[in-house]
Amino acid sequence: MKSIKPFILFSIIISLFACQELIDLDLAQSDPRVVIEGKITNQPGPHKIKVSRTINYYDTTGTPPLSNASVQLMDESRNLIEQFTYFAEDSTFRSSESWAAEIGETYIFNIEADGDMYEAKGQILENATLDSLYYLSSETLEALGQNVLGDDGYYLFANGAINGQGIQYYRLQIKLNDTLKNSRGDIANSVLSSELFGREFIGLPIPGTFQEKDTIELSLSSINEDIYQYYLEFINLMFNDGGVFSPPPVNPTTNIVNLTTPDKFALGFIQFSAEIRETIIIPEEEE
Amino acid sequence: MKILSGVVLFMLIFSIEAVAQNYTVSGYIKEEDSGEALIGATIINAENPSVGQVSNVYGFYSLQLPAGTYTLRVSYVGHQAQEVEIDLNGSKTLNFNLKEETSSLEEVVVKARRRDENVSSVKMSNENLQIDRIKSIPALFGEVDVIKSIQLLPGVSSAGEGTSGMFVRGGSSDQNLILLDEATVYNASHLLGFFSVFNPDAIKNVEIYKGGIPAKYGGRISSILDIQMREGNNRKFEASGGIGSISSRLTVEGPLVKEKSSMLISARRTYADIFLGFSNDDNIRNNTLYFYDLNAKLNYQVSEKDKLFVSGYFGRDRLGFQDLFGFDWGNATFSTRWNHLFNDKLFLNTTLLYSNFDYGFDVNTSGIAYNWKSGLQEYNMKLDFNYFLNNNNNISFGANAIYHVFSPANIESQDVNIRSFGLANDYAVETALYISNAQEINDKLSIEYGLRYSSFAKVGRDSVAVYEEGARRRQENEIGIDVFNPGEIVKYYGGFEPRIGIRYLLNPKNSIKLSYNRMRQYLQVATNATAGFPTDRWIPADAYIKPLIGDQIALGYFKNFTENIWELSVEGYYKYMQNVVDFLPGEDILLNDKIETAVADGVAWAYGSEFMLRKNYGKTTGWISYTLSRTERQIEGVASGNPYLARYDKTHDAAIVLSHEINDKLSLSGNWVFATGAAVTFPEGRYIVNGQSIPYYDDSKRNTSRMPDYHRMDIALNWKLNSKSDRFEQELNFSFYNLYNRKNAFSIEFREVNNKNPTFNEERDGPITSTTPQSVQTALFGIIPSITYNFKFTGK
Repeated sequence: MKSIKPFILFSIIISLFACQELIDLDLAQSDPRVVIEGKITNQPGPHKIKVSRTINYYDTTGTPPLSNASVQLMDESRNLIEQFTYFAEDSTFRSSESWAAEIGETYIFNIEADGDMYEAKGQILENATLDSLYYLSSETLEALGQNVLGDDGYYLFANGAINGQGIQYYRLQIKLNDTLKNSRGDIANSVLSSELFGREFIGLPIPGTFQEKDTIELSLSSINEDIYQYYLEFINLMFNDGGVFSPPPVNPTTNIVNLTTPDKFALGFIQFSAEIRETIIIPEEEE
Repeated sequence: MKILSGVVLFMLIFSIEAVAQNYTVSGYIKEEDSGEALIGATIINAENPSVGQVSNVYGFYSLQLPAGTYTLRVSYVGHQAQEVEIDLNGSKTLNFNLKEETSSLEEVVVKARRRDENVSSVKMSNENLQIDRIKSIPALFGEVDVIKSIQLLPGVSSAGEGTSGMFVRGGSSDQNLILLDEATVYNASHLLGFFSVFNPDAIKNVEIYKGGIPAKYGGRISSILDIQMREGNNRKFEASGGIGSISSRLTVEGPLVKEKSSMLISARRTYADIFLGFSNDDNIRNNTLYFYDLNAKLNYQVSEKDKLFVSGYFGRDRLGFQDLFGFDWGNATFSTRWNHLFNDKLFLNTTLLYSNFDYGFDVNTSGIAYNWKSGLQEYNMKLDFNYFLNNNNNISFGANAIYHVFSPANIESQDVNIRSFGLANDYAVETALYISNAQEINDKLSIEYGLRYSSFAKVGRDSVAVYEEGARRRQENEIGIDVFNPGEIVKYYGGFEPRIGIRYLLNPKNSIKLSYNRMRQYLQVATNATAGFPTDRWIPADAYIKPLIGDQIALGYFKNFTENIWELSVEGYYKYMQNVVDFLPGEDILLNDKIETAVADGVAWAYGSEFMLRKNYGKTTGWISYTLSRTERQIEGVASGNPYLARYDKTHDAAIVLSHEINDKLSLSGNWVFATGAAVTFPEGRYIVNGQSIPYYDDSKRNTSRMPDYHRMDIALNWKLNSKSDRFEQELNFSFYNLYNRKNAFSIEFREVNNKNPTFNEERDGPITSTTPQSVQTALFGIIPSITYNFKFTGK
């Protein structure tokens, strides 16, 4: 809801007259910072945590992984659950395959990297209930007098209910024919708050336009408020154009604290989620 | 502060001393052809020119003289002076109608008021632009723009290319009080800021106070932009208008009762939608994009002593994205004024004002549909007295009461998934009392001093969260809620605002001026962006958000030379602003009913010097202005608490504005502007999260980098066409915005770019061969030609 801004319309005006070009800037370079990204869910593992460092802005070599970091998962009383192990293939620290988080439980990560100790804490909140997932063609929608934003094709809708007290937060990701939809726009559409919703949802539109023979895998994750906030700030930063209509850019507020040097917080986040997955295939020549 | 307030009070009392038996000559000074009041016309005793007065904003003057015979000379620039002989043996009413000077065509006049005002007036940090001057400045798409013209003056800067946000002496854009016929205009921009809401055909005069602000004004800490609408010709019917590149205008005016009552109606509408139609893209073609303005004014001379004015403005923007998304916003103002003359010394203006700003958007897609509405209203009453105590003391006093209503958000669901809900309205009462005196101590020293007491009460109905003592104002630290009934005071703020201005005349051509003012501001816009969106939320001071306090001191040197044809001014200022707020990143502002959880407060300061060289008379007129300045803010939690530059900080800001009358038919005008690039934050690294390359910023710094310098030249040619009848005038205006097509950076974005092409499109440009982190500069307007046709028809 928060992301509804007259951006689209503003970009229309801009696109009529604007001219874009690449420029070279002499940017300052500050000391590298630790970047931590990962998530644990109630689905079977392995759950992955990536630890790396920032690089200079124009550097194209890729962010260096910190393979000698230590990643420990603990319960709320700080009893060690698992020590994650490093896998060089995708430069991640992984849990065992059998382990899965439990709904309602709180977990703590302790990560040692570059000599500093970092900590992140979160609860696995109950997910929404997804009763059904269905699709309608743009022709059908048009015939029903329903407006849709986008091209001809098929549109997905979901029915279900929101569980838990108060405002709930979710992340919705879509894999289309085995490829995660992960553009800037996809990420911007991926976080939801129940703030404006009732307890049930009927015909809730799922972002995207799909075609015949598409296999769509939908994953819905419950997220903590601090992660929802992280995503909002992350999205704001992705779309920050540095112009007069954007606020000054700042690093998104992470849920990871640096216990050794509090001012030098890590970049990135660790997500604690209950996750549900649904797959739907749009058959050929569907009327 | 209390000492200064006391001094001002003492001086006021002291000025009301016994004076010798004098008689008063008073009346109105008007323009012969149209009956419009002449503001700032001078009336002097021709035998002793040091005895004189200046007409007020309603054209009223009051001059005191002992019994005797005098020759009074009334003059106003661009008009033929009048002399009358009077034999004064009692108080007298004398009205003047001055004829426009038509004989001397080489004498182009671009400034009203007295010729030596720059040097002689106590006013400083003040600029006055007549609408004719503004109309001669080349404009973007040929749309004459009041606020963009003001941005060419020293000490006033813009947010960026083409935008009409205004930053005065280091103040942010919500620190300017914009008045249209005294009614507050809350959002003075159209089309997301590219045009301002003032239709030039309906405007008479524009005056800005950047400092030395008279006690009569209050409510914003940085500037007062006072815009007066034309009254309409009360002698002849007139229709005028124009057809421009993006808009058309039509104004009709004329007498209702000849010489007693006149009216004016003026309308403007853009047809920017037409541009959208040229696009190849269906998604762009099916959009709506337009705005319109409607101004109306009526005045009626009830009697010799009473005059009524009613004026209003209504304007709206509408943007629509196919049938899916609509967004509209607009202002409405309504002013009723009653001028009453109690006697030849006491003048009262009673004003009732109403201002409204609202916006709404509607979303209508399958599964998500709702209307969102938000607005604010101001009900304002003012009493302004002018007491012409004697020729050396002109006292102003008055009172002001405003009732504010804020409706931050109301969402009405049109669909099963969204629930209808809204934020509670906020209510507040703002009041002020003021008194000031313009006193001529002697031939050299003149002082204007005043005191304003303003107060603000946030009133119920309201509920205020209570937080744990000493803890951060966060939801998790909330320990209770205080509920206030309708009318109950939630929080009260108030305080004195002393104002003083001193002018010392070194000689008739040189003066030194000094001013100090304290201003209090009880409302502000909740945004961290530099330029405004119509969705920006105005928030009142409340239990947690304190009013802004601004103190400014300015010192200036003023010189006129070559028979007042040239004016020079040099001013230095220092401004200190308290309780400046910054909104925490990512915090919800629009739907936050505990806005105090989203703010951090601190201080800001600005200093600088301004130079202005202006030529007001002759075939070539114009000015050169230059500002050297710095604006810094310091807010807890922002940039690790270090002072940082405001984004709109511009070390150098210069403008050259020229107009040349080639002959009776042709005139050429041009301007060139230069400004240091805005202070911005550039990344110091990058990292990958969520599969995206994200810039990394050093949290202890903000705005330590600079955008490239900005410069631009515009020109315009005005051609008066031949006409068979002298009752019909027509002209063509050709203009080029950004003549040398400079690509000024509007924004610099840090993002990944495919194939080193910032506008890469896979369908059009082929397969992706590389993806690299880049800095992408967007330049908004290249060279833009435009043409406008204007006409005017005058009745008999």
